[in-house]
Amino acid sequence: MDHIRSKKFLMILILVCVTSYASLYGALTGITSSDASDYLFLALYTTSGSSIPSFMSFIALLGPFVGVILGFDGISGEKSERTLYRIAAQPIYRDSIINGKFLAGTTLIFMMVFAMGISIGALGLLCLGVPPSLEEIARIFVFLLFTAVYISFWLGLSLWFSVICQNAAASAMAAIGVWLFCALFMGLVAGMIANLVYPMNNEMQALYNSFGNYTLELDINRLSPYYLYSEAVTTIMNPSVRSVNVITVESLSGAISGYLSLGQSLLLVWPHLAGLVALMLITFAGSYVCFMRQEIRAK
Amino acid sequence: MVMRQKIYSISAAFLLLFLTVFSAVPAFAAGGLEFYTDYPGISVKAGDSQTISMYVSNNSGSGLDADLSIVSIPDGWEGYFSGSGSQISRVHVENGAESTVTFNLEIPEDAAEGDYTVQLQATSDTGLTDVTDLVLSIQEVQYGQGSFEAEYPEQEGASGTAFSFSTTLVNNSAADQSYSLSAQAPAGWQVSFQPSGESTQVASIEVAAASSQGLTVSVTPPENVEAGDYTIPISAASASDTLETELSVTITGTYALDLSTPSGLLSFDAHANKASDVTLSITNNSNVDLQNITLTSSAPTGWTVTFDESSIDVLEAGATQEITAHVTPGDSAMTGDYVTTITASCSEVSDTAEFRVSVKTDTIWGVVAIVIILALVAGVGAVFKKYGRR
Repeated sequence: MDHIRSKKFLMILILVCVTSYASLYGALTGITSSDASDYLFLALYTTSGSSIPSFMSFIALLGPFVGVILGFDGISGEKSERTLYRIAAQPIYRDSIINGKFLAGTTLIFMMVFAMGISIGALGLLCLGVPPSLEEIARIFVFLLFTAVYISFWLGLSLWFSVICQNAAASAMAAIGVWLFCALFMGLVAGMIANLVYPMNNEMQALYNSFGNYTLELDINRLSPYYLYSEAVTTIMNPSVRSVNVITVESLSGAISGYLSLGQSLLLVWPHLAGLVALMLITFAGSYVCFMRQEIRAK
Repeated sequence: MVMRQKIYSISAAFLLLFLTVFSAVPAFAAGGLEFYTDYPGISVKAGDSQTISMYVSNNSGSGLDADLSIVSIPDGWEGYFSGSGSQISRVHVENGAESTVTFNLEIPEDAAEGDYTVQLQATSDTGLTDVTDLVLSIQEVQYGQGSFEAEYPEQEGASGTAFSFSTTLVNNSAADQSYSLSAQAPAGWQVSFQPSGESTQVASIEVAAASSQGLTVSVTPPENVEAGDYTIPISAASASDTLETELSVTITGTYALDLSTPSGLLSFDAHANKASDVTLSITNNSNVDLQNITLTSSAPTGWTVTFDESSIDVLEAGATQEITAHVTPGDSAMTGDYVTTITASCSEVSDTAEFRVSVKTDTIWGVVAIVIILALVAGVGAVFKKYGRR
């Protein structure tokens, strides 16, 4: 209730709504001009318009922002308003406070993500008139699940910062800093490190090192939850993606283009899902441990 | 002696008289006019038109004109004289020369067998006359046997070829005949008769007297006929005649090899680095045995394909053999579909089957991921237990 009535939630809800519908508009204009694919309904989520990114890339970028907004002042806000010790003085278990903060945020995120995703689908259905197949519905469901877990990870992270930091501003700055680093700078850093380890300055080096270089860059990039999530949902939402790793000419010999089944797509990104869930649980566990070990007293 | 001499002289006189009288008769009869032909006796056929060259020669001492006439001719026969393209009745003959005229004779169709005499006469204005007899003998027509012959009686082709023989059925008899047509083909062969230029199949055909009829004989061997030489006697039998001929067909070897799976399904699932078995069925659809069939494969880089038996020594005509292939996708195979081509070939023929191999990710990794997530949940649970509820 706290969250839903709050102005910051209203703000991000409006932001997400506007961007989502803008991306839907972009997708619809993009679809009409492109040729019909076998998975037309999925294209609603993955097609970008001429200047508007797709719903998928919007969520990858703005999802963390939602999580951070919901979590950055979870504990530090209570502290700065001096309400935390009053809550702690209530006859409730102390872990209920942190659990409640996290679960409330997670519930809200799941509700928002699924509401947005389904409304995009419904509006798209209205405009396209093409009903989704069962597999498409399942893929969209998995995509939304990934998205909710991904945003919950950012909620957990910002909650952790809010436990560690004394005031809300510092925790917000820290969380947004991590977000920016993952979304924007991780790729640059990964490329830099890969080039240091496997230099590709001349043709000879490029010949020998390119595989190692790209593989290393990919591995480093995957440390970023942003990249991990993007890769996973791209695989889920695009059945023609067959490999998440570097594809060699050897792998391509004899390959024929075709679609993977949902099960096979899921198996490709199981490590990603496991990684995202693990990150979410680890950030929550971290914030939990830190909160439980903190001293709470009225100043 | 005197008496004897007298007798002699009388005899000589009589002899002389005799000679004079008798030698004078032909001279009188011809009177210097002769009417004759080269071959007074000829053999003709009923219905024939004969042109016979006749000569009129004149030794009478002066040129003369002669009437030409037919003294007697059998009933129904017709004859007239002609010369220089015109019908004539008189001819002029110079002294010491001869003229040629042509006698045209029409013999009726129904003239019976026998000898006939046509008597022709030439009579000059001066009273000279000569008669000549033409003896025409009509013999019964020597009817030959009919014939039944094929233009190209020996043909060659692969199994599945429909052979077509052009035959001619000749009726040499004087009467129309109805021939019933039949063939003694080996079991499974189909033989049909069609009049030339028509598509109707006939079992018997009417051929007019002294004429011929073209027949197309279609011979269709059975599907699974073995290579070899086949002889098909065909016959046309009428009431009086049985005509036979033989058609000979050489079936050459056709080679067909079929590579598939027992179910016909040309796709299967495989896992990277793990052998997947696929049963191949190799069928010899040719009409001869095939020797030394070898199996080869063309797979993506890094893949291995092995066979239980990589060659078949002899595969009999129509026989099928199953061989298991073990397809192992390479390490670098991505999830999804690949094409692997397997070829069965012998020196005569080959067949290729393209298999769509769906490389699947092992479900074990999904299980591992779930185990990791469960372990993490258990870890969080342990954290709860350690720090919670105090």
